[in-house]
Amino acid sequence: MGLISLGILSMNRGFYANDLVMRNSKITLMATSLASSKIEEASGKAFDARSADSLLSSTSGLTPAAGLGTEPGETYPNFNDFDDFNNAAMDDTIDGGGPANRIPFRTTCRVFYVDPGTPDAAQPMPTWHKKIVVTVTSPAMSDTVTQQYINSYFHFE
Amino acid sequence: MGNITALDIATSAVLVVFLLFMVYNSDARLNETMVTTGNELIVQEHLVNLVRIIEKDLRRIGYCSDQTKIPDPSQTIVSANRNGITFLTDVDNDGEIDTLQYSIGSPSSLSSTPNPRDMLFFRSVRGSASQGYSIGLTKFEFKFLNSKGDSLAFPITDPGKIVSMELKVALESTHPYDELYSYAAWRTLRLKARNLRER
Repeated sequence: MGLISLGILSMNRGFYANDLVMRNSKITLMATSLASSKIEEASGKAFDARSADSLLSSTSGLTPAAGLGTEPGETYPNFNDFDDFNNAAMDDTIDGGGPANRIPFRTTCRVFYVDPGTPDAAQPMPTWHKKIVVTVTSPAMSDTVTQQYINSYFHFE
Repeated sequence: MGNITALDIATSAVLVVFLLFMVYNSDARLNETMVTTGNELIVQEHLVNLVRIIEKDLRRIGYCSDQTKIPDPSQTIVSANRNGITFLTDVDNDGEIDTLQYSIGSPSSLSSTPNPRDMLFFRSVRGSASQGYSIGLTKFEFKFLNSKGDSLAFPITDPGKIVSMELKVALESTHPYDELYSYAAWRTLRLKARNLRER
């Protein structure tokens, strides 16, 4: 009797772990879609507020590293350039299958200048490359989803 | 002595009933887990594969490996509606412009699955008759945006105004377990095709 009970307990533990993995996998998929969407959205904007309407030929014309972020009066989703996403945080709720299963997510972004040789290190001076790091968290998710993308400025004359 | 034996037998019978009940429950749970896990896995795999194909195709709107044949960006999207899009691209990278169409069927036309909400998914290249894919698609909704980021109202009469798009995709398992369908969603795939950007 005891042995069978232990066996069944162990099976139930396995079922629970299995459910947890599947649910976490489903939520991670949603988080991945949110992170991808934010990167797509950011990469569709102008490289810099100062390159939105004119061409730049020197990095000294770019927004200083300390000034990356929204300009006065700008709020999401009305951003006009890539670095407006710096320190931006957005809340989303995704239908996880039925009205009782709505899953909240929080997406935070960080944007900084990088050098191609050291793409993980933030540069204190402007370069032609900006990196966005998008982090998605949720109370329903045991882990954090992080995606990164480097946007480079170039133009043809 | 006789009473003790009868009590033993009764106790044993109760325990056996308990054991049988536990085994029966475990068997039912095992069955449920196997089916739902399989369904979840299939739905998630279908979703990831579908999104991968769509992302690749939509990113290449207006692309042609032969640069002399790159279509006019304002003519690249042939037509667009809430549940489908037709656009010009070079699907097989052979330097020839192809027409690629995404569309869905109606839930009622897919009677071969028990799920009342799923629809066939069609991907038609060069106008060829596409076989519909039954992958449990329950939502496939586009939202198209102009250069200012404003969404365009349906019906879209001038697809040339489209600069970016959002897509919501949801899949459910085609077969239920205990009347419950497994569910997976990909929210707002926001795409800005490079070749639609500058015009």
